[in-house]
Amino acid sequence: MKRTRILIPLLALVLCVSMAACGGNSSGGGDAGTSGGDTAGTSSGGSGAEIAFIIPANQELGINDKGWIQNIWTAMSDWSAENGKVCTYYQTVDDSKQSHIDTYDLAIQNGAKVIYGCGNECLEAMRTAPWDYPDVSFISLEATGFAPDEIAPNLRAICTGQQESAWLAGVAAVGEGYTDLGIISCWDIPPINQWCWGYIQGVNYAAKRDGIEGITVRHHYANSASANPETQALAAAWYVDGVECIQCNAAGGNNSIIAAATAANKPVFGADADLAKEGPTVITSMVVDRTVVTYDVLTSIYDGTFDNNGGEEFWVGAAAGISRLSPWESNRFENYTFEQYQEDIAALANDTEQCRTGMITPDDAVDIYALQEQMGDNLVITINHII
Amino acid sequence: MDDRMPDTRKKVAKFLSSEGFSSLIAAFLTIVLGLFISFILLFIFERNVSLDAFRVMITGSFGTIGVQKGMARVLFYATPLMLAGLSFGFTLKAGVFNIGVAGQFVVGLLTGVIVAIRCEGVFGDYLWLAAVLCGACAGAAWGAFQGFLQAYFNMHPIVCGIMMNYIGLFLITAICEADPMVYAKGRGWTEVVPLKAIMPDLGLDRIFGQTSAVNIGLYIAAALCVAAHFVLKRTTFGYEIKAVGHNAYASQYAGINIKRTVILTMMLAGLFAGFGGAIQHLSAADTHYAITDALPQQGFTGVSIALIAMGHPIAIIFAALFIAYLQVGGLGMQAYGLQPDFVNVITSLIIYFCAFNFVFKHWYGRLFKWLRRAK
Repeated sequence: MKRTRILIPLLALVLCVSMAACGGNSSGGGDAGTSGGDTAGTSSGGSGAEIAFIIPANQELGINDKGWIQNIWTAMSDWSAENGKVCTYYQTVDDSKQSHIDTYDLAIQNGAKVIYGCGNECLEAMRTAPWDYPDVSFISLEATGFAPDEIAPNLRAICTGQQESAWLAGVAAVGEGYTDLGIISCWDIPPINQWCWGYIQGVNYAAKRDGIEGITVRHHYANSASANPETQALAAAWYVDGVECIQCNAAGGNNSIIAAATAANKPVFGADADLAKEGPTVITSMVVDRTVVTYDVLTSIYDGTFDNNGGEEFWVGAAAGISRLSPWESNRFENYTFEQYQEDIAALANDTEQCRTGMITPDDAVDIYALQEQMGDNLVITINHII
Repeated sequence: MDDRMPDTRKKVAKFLSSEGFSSLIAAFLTIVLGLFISFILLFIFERNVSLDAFRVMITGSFGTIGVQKGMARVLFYATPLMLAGLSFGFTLKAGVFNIGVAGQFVVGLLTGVIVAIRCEGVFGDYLWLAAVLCGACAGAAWGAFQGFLQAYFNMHPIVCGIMMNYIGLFLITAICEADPMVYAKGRGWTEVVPLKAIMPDLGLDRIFGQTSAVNIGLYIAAALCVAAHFVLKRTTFGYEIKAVGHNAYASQYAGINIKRTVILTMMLAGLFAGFGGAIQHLSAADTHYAITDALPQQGFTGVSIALIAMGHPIAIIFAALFIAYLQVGGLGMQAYGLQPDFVNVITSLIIYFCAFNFVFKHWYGRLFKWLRRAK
């Protein structure tokens, strides 16, 4: 009995290690490309993939998140299929720096020449790994906080203007006639705060421009990025309390907010991707088109124009057509018109009254109180942060 | 010669029916069957890549990344798993199901971070040691509190453990968030711990390379497993734990203080988990700890490890290495386009089959008896 206890794990380990010793000489990278294309027409799968997409462990839904990860992966797969390349994706074991570095290393040993990381979780690994692999091109998307000397020549640190899409949604909310607004965010982190800061400034811009008084925005961090009854109950309570429209900013928790909005038959704004199909009351969604970003950066690597933007983070947004609302045909506005939307998006792209370049970002204001302080006399709406 | 034959046969028969050999055969069959079934699943769902993916899984990606790097990764991932497994396995002996490992783990981890950042100038070169010990003590305190609730208020261990996991998580993260020195406001994670709080590698970098994250934590984890084995095997307290685990009422009748034993067992379990948490973060492998509402996965993986090892502290070392080995191999399988969830199914299946050991042992015994009767 006692012997058995040690025997099973020991034997399992010995068996596997001995197999490793027997199979240790076979090179994983040797069969590059041979196993690519697990389904007709796609370029996913197979050791030896040239392009590796690294997903952080905390993105539990992986490439099926109906949001930004899926957006990037679809774009990457399409680009690879069009250009005769093989791409694959890996999910890290955990969110530590070492786990990210280990995954990059494994992908590179398997033949990857492009490492595409995403999210703040990859920031620390992207600070060091590109220096260790100078022949590999690295891309980090939505990781902010690089110091200029940390961005290696073979790294493109891209951040998209999420706050600009949110700004458009804020303007549209006022254009639709809402005066009691809500935002439910998941975490107090820069990529999430971008949506929140942009939305508040969009509402404030439109309220000031149109001379509308008495607009209030209430905000809350759910401290959870997954669908749960607490978030749904909170959203339902807000609607009962008079909130006219809630901005979803809670990642997986967006499903809970949309469920509450559907039950209450109240409007809701989606985030990250077009969520019109997720509920009948999703008026619009704040969209960042990462397809264009992914296409552009992959093309630049293979046509030799890839650079590290002078060692600075590379921001793209409305001016490049990246930040927008959902395609107009899927929107459900009653008062806000297509013409108004065109004017607002032009104002943002053209930086009218510095509405784009003057926007306060999470780098300038680390919390909502600092945001209020920075907006100063410019602030014509009331912000209630609910702890 | 003919006269000796029956003796030889008897000896062979005795050897084949012995406890040790039947255990060996049963263990071998469970693992082989687990591997075989996982391969069949792979073949059904991912026929094109099944052979390659299976090879990568059982060779732990060593063929791709090399033995040195592969071993370093296995040992690095195995270190906190050993301690999480030990935390669960130790309480199994007292008949307590410590599902609160994850909570004790995260309490230890974040206490280690707070001490590392707050006491930078106090402990000098031994900051890492102070941080790890404080993390372990915090885990022990949290475990003891759970033991107290179970012993004095008769709380169900599973309900208590699950609740205390979340109370521990939210309490310690609230403490972190309230401290601007520890929590990076607006970033959602803790500040970077000072360099002196990073555990030394004690020459392991010479074996596993400069880039490896294996550190002294490996020795600490292994030593704690051995120490736990010694406590259980050679001390009165260990005997009391086992006695309570076998029959609490009989132990009480024999004069053992059950409440004291449960609290002390839970305290030691918390100590092991706290060590695991602090060691996990105070390595060169990590910088910030992201504050989320998710409990660390190691706490739950530790339960599987302890169950594979049937609570034996030494077996837990090998079980943790085995699980870490599968994790490293599983990561390599993703190179073949296998979804991470599917990889988890495959590796879990192998772990699951390890639990079939007793069934195989029973079948082997019956088969052997049948063969003898048939002759």
